[in-house]
Amino acid sequence: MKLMLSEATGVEHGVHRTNLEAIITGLRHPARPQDGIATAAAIEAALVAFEEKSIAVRSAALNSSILRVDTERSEFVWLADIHARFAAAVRALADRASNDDSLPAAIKVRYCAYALLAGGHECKWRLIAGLRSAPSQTHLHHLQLGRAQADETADVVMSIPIEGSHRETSVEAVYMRALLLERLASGNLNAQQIEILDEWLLAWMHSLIVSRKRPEDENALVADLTGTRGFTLSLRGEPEGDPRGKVYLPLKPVMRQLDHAIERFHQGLIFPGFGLGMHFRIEEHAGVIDYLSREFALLMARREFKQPRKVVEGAREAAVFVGMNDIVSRAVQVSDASLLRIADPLAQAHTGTGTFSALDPAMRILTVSDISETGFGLIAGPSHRDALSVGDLAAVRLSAQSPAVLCVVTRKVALPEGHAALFGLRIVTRQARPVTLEYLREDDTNGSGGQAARPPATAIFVPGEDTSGRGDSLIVSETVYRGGTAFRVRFGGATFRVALGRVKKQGRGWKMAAFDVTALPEAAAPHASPQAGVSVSAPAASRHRS
Amino acid sequence: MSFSRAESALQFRASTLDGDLARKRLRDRYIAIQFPDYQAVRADPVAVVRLARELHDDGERRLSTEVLILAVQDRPQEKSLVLALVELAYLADDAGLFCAVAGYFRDTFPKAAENATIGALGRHIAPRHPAFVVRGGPAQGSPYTIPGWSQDGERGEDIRAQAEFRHLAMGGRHAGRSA
Repeated sequence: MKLMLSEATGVEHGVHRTNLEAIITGLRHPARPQDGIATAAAIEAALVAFEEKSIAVRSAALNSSILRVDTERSEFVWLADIHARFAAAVRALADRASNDDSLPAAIKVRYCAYALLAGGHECKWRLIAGLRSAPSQTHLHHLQLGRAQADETADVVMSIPIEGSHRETSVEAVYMRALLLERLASGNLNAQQIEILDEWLLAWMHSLIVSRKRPEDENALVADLTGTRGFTLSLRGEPEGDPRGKVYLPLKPVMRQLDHAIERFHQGLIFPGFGLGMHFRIEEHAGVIDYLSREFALLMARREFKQPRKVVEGAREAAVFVGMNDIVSRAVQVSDASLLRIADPLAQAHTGTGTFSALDPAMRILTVSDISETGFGLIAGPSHRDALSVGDLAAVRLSAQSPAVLCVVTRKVALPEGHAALFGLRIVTRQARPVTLEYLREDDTNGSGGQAARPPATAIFVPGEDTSGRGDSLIVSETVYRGGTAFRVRFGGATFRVALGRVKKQGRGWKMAAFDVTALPEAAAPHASPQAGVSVSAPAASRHRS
Repeated sequence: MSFSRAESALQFRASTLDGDLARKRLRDRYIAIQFPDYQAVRADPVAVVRLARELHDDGERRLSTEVLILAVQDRPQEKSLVLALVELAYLADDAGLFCAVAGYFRDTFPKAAENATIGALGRHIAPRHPAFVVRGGPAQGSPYTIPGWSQDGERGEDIRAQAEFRHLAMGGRHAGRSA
């Protein structure tokens, strides 16, 4: 069926591609290149035509239900490529206009805005295609803003056609949109979420105001127009070098815009009310809200939130386990001989490799790029690149003897080399423990009866910071969470009834939930749990939140 | 970091969507995805306050604020929800949010006795705000006297069971339970 659909739309796509190529060719050879004003109008018309004629292709690519296979990826790469060529054609005309002394500044500034708008589109599609934004591209953005600043037109408000209607913007705003896309969409969001983010940034353009002075009372994003890097974080109160050539983005106004977007969802409206994102699932919008809320919280908070990373010299390897079952049975099991089978130090000594055994099919060996107090950067080659995605739960062992560190994959970026990917993992806990959850029979109201027909489920105990146990959590699969909210857990002679509560964190196929625990009478425990860990079952007696 | 648009968000009434099923469905879907736990206890203000308090204690202050705002939008006459929001803003030392919610409470429940307590808290957290300025000197009373509005519905916790569970889960030995 997918093939038939693909064949049916193939001809149509071919027509769209030809049309887009024709627009780029038209820009490369404008009819009257000597007329700067007419050329500006031609670029504007080309921007509108490019948007209109590419919408079917963009929509098809973003709404594809096919998994991330090579054909879909190649569609994204093609879109990135054609947007890059379109942006290059616009930039070439903008460069020529900047050297044309006969052109008034009011016209020149439009060229800068068009170049930055097209550059932003290019940036977005590169990120959607999983390609890194090139430093040279960032430098071109800096160049356009620098030109407009020199002409004192960077903040001049103008009306530009974007997503089907004219919107008020400025060179500063389209510059900020391009740099924010680079900063915010590099590996944490999926294709649809990047599109949603871009639509929000386009809607927020009136708030994306450049400041040449660092805000005194808050952290801000800063870009150095003389360099090739995008936004970095400028910390409040930290001494900073020469402010010349730097521009700042205060974060509070952007945060207020995010709250405005959230308010619209409270009112039953999809923000911003235009664009392809209007037709995406609400989950994708919620994903963008979650991500931006946490990212801005990190940026606005004090620096200790973001721990310094230490780059790992040489090729150090880490064993990574993905998925609840493998994590529980192969990575976090307490004093389990299977760990030694996975990575037997003696075997390592004999072979002299010093690396993990390659015999465990559940274990993936990745290269450690950097380490911080809060996470890891790991590099995966072609064989493991597709095994991890943002939102996955993973356990990382840096050596056979070290404890498994439970993490969530928060970032995935293709490396320039092509086939490898860099993963960002945020640590959930270094003290994960396996737990066995026993479902109780429906009629078992006090947790003292025998085991229900369903086989026990596995879970991971995550201790909280409070030693009283108040902040402890259990990680379970989505199926277990849906299947029953209360269980029985046994530790030797001690038995507890545990009821899963509020979901604190969740990702692909797993949920980390708070839980209420009640001690059951010791006589009620029939026998010890089959595993070294803990086991749980599910009636509804008095519950105590953990 | 707080929700910066609390003042306008609190003015919205979910009941205005009763005649617009598409928007109502979208709001409900948003809530189901972002706050599945709120969806489950939506009709019970005590449970909602408890949920907000738990989020607050977990460091999820924005979510804690948002869930109470959604609850106020659903049940605008439920005073306890607004009072919990006032208290959590005070505990978070978020003067902007506190003033916005305090103003909303004063306008919505002008005769409520709690306005006096809110005024006392306001004189500590926002002494220069026009609503809380007092002639003749600084605020009276301890800034650490908390009314407890956000603790409504908090259950007595089996601290011993929690601690024992944690001890055993972390590999400790079971010493047996005494009566």
